[in-house]
Order: sequence, then C-alpha cells, then structure tokens
Amino acid sequence: MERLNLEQLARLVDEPPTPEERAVLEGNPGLRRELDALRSQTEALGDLPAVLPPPGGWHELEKMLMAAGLVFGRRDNVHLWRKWLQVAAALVIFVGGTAFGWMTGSAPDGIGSEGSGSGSASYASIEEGIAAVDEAARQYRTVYGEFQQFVSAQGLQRRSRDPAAELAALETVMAASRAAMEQSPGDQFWPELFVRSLAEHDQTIRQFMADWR
Amino acid sequence: MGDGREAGLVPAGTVHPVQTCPRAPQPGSRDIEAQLIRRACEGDGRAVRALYDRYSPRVYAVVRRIAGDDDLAEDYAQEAWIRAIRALPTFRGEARFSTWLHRIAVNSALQAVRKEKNRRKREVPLPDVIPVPPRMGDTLMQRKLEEALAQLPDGMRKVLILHDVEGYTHEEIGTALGVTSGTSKSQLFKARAKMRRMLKGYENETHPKEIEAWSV
Repeated sequence: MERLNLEQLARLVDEPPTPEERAVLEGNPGLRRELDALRSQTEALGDLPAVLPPPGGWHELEKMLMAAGLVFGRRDNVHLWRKWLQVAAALVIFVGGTAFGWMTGSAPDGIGSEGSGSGSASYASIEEGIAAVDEAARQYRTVYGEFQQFVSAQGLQRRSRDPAAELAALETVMAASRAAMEQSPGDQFWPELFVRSLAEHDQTIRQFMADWR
Repeated sequence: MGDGREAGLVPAGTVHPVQTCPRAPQPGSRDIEAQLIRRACEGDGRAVRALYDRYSPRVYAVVRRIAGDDDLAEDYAQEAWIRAIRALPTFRGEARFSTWLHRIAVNSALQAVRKEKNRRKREVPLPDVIPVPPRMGDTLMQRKLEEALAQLPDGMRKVLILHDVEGYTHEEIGTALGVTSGTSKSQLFKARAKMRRMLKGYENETHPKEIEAWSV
C-alpha cells in the first residue's frame, strides 16, 4: 500500500489504522495533514449550532395543536369563565327579580315576574316561587361543582385564570347571594355561598397582588 | 445518546393508544422541566410553549439539515412537534427529554423526506440537491459547512448529519434509515470525503486565517 484515498482517511477519523495504513501515514506528511483536516471537519460538524426557527412558527404550531385537540389555549379558559359569568348573571337576575317582586308587594300574584332569568315566568304562589329559587340554587351548585372539577382536572393554577373575569364573576355571585340572604334568612345555602365567594374573592385579590409583584 | 426506545426510531412517532401523563415530580430544580412536561401532556398550551421555546432551535436545526430546504423544514418541524406532544404520555423520563424529543424530530424528518421524495418521483423530477441558504449570524466556517452539507447527495447527507452532527451510532442510523450499519459506515466515509473535497475548494477562495480553524 502506497497511498490512502480520502474515503480510507475518512474511516481513520473514527477507527485506528491497520499496521499497513500506519506505515503509509508515517511516511507521508501530506496524508497526515489531510487526516487532521478530516478530523477537524468532523469536529466542526459536531459543533454546528442550533438554528432558530422562523418567527411566527409557534403561532402556526399552536393552531395545529389546538385543531388536533392536543392543547387547550387561553381561549378555552376565557370561554369557561364566560359561561360561568353567564350562569352567575342569570342567577343574580333571577334572585334580584324575585326579591324585587317581594319588596314591591306584588307577591303572591307576581312573584318572579320581572326576574325569572327569561323574564317570562310567573308563579302562582310563594311556595312555587321558593321552589323556583331552590331549583336555581340547585342548578347553580351543579354548575359550580362542575366548574371546580374542571379546574381541578385541568390542573389550572391561579396564574392561568383571568383575574378580572374571576373577580367580576365572584362579585356577581356575592351580590346575588347577599340579596337572597335578605329575602330568605332561614336558608342555609345563601350565607354559605356568600362566605365562600367572599373568601374566594379575597384569595383572588391576594394572588393577583402576589403575581403583580 | 439514549437507548432510543421511547422515541422509537422505528416505527417513528408511534403513539400508544391509551396512556396517562407522567406523574407530578417532587419539588426540585430539574423538576421544573418535568412539571412542564406533565402540564404539556395535559394540554396546557403555555407549558407546550415553554418546551417549544427551549427546544425548538435544536429541533429545527436537525430537521432543516435533514430536509435541506427551509420551507420543508418548517413543515417538518411542526409535524415533529405535533408527534412529540401527542407522544408525551409515552415519555417516562428514562432518557433526557431533549434526547427523546430529538429522536422524534429525526424520525419525523426522515419519514417526511421519504414521503416528499416519493411525491416528487411521481411528479416532475427535481434535482436531489437543494442548497440551504446561509443565515445571518453564522460564522463563515459554519456557513461553508452548511452549504457543503446541503450539496451532498440525500443519502450521504442524512448519514453524515446523524453521525457527525447528531452523534448517532451506525446501528441507530441503520435502524432509522432501514440500511445495514455497514452501509451507514460506507456512506459516512464517502460523505466525509466529498465534504472535504468541497471544502478544499472553499479553502482556495477563503483567506487562510478563516480556514485554519478546521484545516490544520
């Protein structure tokens, strides 16, 4: 063997030379330089840097991941909060309307006529009105429970919530439960809901301040 | 390199049908990533974004080099990420997340290149070599290397990237490309030699100081 071609030299970057190849290399400084150059080339390839993807790549990817149902973005949380706000708003309209009916003395004939949520319901008796309030409370408990389960299942942290929407929802619930307490002082559900909402409200403000800092 | 079982060099990006996300880790500095992975697995978009921000340059780099084309690289990188996020429930933390993700990216890109080649075969024949334009910020040496890489024939380029750039073994490359490890070696030596010939040409065009870093 008198010479080594480039491919043979390329092999010697990773593998030790045979005695024959070693002898050729020892007798040929040009080949040794070429082998060194191949080693440097290989090393330089290993040091090639990462490449930044084009800008906007994430937004495209996010859309695709959402379409594939692999991520739930902020929009889903906003949607959830909107739904919860709607429920809370419906509740406050219902309770407020019922309270208004009682205060204006239209009961028993017109209990809830101005505030049944849809505005179309009327109740024949106080008992029927109370039953409707109870049903609204039951529905609220169900929705609230489902909401809590969702939050827990998603592993959502407080930071992931929208504090403005959260505070607005809680204030709506507090107002509704306060009005209900005044009208139904004997009902244990409303004070409990009011206290829970108040505590949640305070906690949200504290968390918001902590995140702000 | 890891053992490659999790990312599954073959079949690429296969997702197990019913899997649960990794358990929440104990508190600790390295567990921030584990937290992110768990949350990403559960569909938290911000956690996926955090992983993307951390690893997208490496994923994009390997995919772009394998693809040899910027536009294709974007599509392949997105596909790789989708596969990886879908496969997150299979990640058990036995290999590093970066290794696991990287293997998915490589598999995904290799598969996409194969598909693209088949598609092109059915359509108008195109040249095998599609040069990747250099990017701002690359050093001259890196640019020359990238240009030379892009001019290699497809098979040689894949082997050279997987072995010399990404550090895969010939056995792993053989598995990924469906060839024997002997073929992988032979392609590698040819690729190195071809690169060397191309870069010798650059040496003549370049100021000697620019090349002394890699040509001793």
